[in-house]
Amino acid sequence: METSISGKGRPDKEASYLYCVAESRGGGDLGDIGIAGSRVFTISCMGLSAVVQDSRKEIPEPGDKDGMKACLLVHQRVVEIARERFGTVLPLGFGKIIAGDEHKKSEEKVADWLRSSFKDLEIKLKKVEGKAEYGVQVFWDVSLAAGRLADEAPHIRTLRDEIKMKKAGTAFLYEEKLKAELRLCLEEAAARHYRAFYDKIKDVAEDVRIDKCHGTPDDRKMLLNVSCLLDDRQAEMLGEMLDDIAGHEGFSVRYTGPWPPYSFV
Amino acid sequence: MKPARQIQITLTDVLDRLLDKGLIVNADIVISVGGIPLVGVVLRAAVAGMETMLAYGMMENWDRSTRLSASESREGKATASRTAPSTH
Repeated sequence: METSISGKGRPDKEASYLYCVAESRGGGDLGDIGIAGSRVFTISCMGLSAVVQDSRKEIPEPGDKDGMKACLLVHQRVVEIARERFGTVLPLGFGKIIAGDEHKKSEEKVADWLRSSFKDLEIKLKKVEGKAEYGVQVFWDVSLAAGRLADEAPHIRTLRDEIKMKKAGTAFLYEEKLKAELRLCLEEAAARHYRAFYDKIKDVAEDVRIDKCHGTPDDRKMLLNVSCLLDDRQAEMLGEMLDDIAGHEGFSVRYTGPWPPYSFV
Repeated sequence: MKPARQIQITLTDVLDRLLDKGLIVNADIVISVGGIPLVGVVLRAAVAGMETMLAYGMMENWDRSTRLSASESREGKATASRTAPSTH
């Protein structure tokens, strides 16, 4: 289990905040670009470098939304800068710290970790070398699709016509039945589209991770949210394929990247 | 279609990656700041202005089960490809 530090949100002892690991014999100093303007530097061992900062400076409490948002963006930016400098990097998630103790300074512990995980890190670096992560989100206009279904599906059209001839009480029950039928049809259509899009994406990408779908501020439903590991050529191919999906009525696509490969390490 | 570069990404994009993902460090030496799940909850709540009731409120279960089955089939494949190199 990872230990969690609450309260002031920082360890009392000296500690190293980790950003990412790169294949490098040490790039030294990345400048004062870290959280709270800290200096970001590398700790190297066996040809691998961990990009870190000293974490003694205050990290905001979880309740401090603006402070936390700023820290997340700083984390992302530092990893980006490291990627520009070192090429392939293995990014860490937000807030990972290695603390020192009475026997060893945190920097030595980071070097120990690089040494002991060397094989694993090398394999992961190989896997993502020359590739980057891209996010794909496909949205579906459910209202539009429901309208189309109501017009096109014969049994739904029949049901709708029958309602007009029923008395209020019966009509209500028919309405409920209509809604249930519509819901079923929409879910079937959603599953069909999901599978088709996912298969197409998987064909192009080196690797794919499925992420949780979010709500949207409008009537669109996020149908699919995935992260893909792609080289430049695949990124271009996927872009063309996504144009094709976005060309279908009722669908829109968000394509983001390149990201450091957070989902593939 | 060209991917949206850093300037157009949203905080949700960043949250999705920085809070749940990234390289794992052996748990006995790494500690996390301020309880990451809590950070996630607070920040997700902050960007949840976007979260609205789903139209027709119906596809959540479907969404969950589809993602589950898809990730199961992916994991099945991953296991297969993991075992492959050992035969060399």
